[in-house]
Amino acid sequence: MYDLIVLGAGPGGYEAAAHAGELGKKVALIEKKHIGGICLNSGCIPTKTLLHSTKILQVCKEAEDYGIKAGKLEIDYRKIQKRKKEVVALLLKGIEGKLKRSGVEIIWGEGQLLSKNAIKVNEKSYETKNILIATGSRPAVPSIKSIDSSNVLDSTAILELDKIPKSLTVIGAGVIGLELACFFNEMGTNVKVIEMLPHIAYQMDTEITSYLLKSLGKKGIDFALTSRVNTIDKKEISYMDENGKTETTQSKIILNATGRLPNLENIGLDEIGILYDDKGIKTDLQGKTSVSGIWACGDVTGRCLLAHAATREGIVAVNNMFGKRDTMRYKAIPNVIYTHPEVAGVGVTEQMLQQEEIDYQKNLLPLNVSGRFIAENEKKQGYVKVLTGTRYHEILGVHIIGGAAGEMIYGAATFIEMEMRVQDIKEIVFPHPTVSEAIKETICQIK
Amino acid sequence: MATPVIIPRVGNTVESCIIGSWKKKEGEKIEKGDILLEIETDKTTFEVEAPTSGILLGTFFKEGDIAPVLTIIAVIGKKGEEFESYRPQPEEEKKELLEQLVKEKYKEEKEITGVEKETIVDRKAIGEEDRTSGGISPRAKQFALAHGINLDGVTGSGPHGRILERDVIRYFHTAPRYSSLARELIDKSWTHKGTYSGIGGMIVKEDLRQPGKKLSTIRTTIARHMHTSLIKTAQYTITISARAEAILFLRKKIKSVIGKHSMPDITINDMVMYAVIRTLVSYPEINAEFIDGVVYQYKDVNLAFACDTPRGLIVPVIRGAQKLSLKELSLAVEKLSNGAVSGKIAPDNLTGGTFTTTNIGSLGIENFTPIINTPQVAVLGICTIDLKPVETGEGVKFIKHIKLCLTADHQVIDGAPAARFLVALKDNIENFRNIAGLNI
Repeated sequence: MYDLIVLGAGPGGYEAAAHAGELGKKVALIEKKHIGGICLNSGCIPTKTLLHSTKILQVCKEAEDYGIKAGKLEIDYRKIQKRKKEVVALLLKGIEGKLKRSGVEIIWGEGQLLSKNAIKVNEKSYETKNILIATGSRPAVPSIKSIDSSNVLDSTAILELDKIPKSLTVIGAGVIGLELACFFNEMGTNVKVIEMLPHIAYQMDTEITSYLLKSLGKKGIDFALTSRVNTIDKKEISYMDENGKTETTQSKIILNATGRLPNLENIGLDEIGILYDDKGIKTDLQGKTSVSGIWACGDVTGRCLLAHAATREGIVAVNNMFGKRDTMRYKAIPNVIYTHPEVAGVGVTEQMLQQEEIDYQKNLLPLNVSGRFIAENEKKQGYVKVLTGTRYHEILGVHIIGGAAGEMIYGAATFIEMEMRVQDIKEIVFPHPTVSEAIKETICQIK
Repeated sequence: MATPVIIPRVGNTVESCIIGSWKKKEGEKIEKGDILLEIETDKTTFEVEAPTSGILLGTFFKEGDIAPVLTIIAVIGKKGEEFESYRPQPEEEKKELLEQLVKEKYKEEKEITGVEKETIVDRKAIGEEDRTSGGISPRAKQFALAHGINLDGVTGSGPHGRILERDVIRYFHTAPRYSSLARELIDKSWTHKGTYSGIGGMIVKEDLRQPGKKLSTIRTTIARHMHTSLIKTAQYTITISARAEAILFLRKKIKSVIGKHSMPDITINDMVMYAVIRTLVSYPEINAEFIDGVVYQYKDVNLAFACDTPRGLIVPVIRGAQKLSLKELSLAVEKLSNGAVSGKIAPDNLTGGTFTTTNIGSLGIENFTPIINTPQVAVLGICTIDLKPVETGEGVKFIKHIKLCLTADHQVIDGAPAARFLVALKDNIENFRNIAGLNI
């Protein structure tokens, strides 16, 4: 009898399993394919590796602006791909070591719930006191004619291309679509992005993403917003543009990045009576599903499709199942887009405040209020935007574009988690000279 | 020497009491064991006895004041003896004193930079002086000093509420932490909902509720009145439907002649009220009050009627309503309603009712349980007019009916007499022409 069996070894599942193991529990982790899930194998990590290569390329191209002559540049795509695999392999070793150290047993195969206390894997049944479902999500396939053509790839398949395509059309300007559009554009591909909504990366602050749109547009990515793809015919994509006119575009490769669907099938949800809908398994803030003893975390719950949210949800669930009351909070989960420039945000966006008719104060400053930003960013721009409550000046949201936005945003997450006010942040000393000083400056100007 | 009188601790959870009525006055001579005053907790009332004989030199709280347990509330001693020194310090002063102490401490630190000085045990700052019994164990005191804990918030588990080290340790680990925003909000009168949603159980904004709105004086009165009614009576409601053709017919006619022959705008509500008055005259047991075990039945109908106003429910009274014609009643209702809505109604027109009607039928309500306007013994709720299937010689017909809900106090009115009154009222409404006395 196990204390916990975790279904799915992504960042939600493996971290939860390791945490339970560290608590001295008998834990098994069921995985059908890869330890590390989408995040490690075909998501967060591989794309960051690729994007770093093109970042280096950009640095070299702009080197002259900083007084360095870089000479003729050449791309070795095979080397880039090789490095990607090495990074993933190294990180995998780290995770495997962690699981081993915490005594987690790995069972390979597809798990199916038999009851609230038993899971079947490869015709063998395992008894357990608790089950954590962390089966993640997969790319959604919209109902577009010929979306199943061989030149339409999803975010996993496109990472395995052995050649850089001449042209690429990305359907969907969410985080995944934007990052891959940025990568291929910098690799020399002709990139077009078609998005249904009037904004890119709709969950981020639209004022900040409008700067991103401008920036990516300048680099040569062609955006068609408020546009809907009608049909795909081999290389030709026909879509209705914002004026209702039908347009066509040609490209060798098409990336379907229209969103993700929870992996709910073949787990045995219906047989056991676990509540779910199209978005995912219903959970409470402790990670409980509708059946006691069965818990869920990560993309499969549809609450927040981010690796770091999944990890925290898994740990919250484990804490609760073993007697430590813990509650998931969603108000300070940072979002990062690793495009060049990088975008990061935490807390509420301005459009959310407007929609909910909450009074707020706002300040937006260019990052060049920071000396370090100017020193290191020739001909580049960036912004920090801060949103606070009107009466008590508590920090409600911080959004950044430019610099190492993703590396700085956790500080703002802390401000929000701790419900700090402008006057509290004035008491914190930021290192000088750093780009993060721009955050403090932006906050301190709010009166 | 003078003897202080202390509010005893009356249970583990009771932190403070409401001072009830004083049975002895300042300067009065009293014997040991005399009842000095009554004290209320949220659960019960109890009496405080004089701990000694002598003169009641001074009392420190008025009736209705809230005082924490173990506070000195009075002093007994010899005539002319000094007693002011026993007076508990009001919270404000206590706070000032604390601030003063903190200021002094900072000053000291500034003056002696670099020189270590023995810490002065600040007894007031750790709340020690406020304890009158039980005391604090030395280990508890030491822990409190080392951890910067104000013992005011600590409940002692030792004999006589003595604070032990374990109490202070438990307090240190369980005392709530607040985010800086939450602290500011609490200063602004937000209150804790009892949840702890922040990091490590920190109290954050979502754990607090916004300051509520204190009830207006009139609303407080309504609240008390309604609550008393439900507590002190045995209310039940019965419902009947009266055919409404007669009053609807009359209403239609009146509408066509409003203004002519000084005809006022007599409403359906006026007509029902008029029928109520005519019926009550024959049912004095319903037109009555019940006070301290005595029933008072009245011949005069002082008809009260509930009036919705911007300031809340107001219930004007039409005195001697049985003397009024339908026209006069209608005019009186209109005049009093206008007065109630504008707030210019004389207080005399709000008292002395013997029976009450309330009409929310105009809003479409089909049925409700009105609450008795005590010490009256019954109230009539007037509902909307609706179609009701009625079996006739020619099959089922849908006929307009008005619903009437009578709430009565079962302490004095049994079901049958209440029903008889309601049936009589129904008859008067159905045959309204017979009582209306109008020639139109």
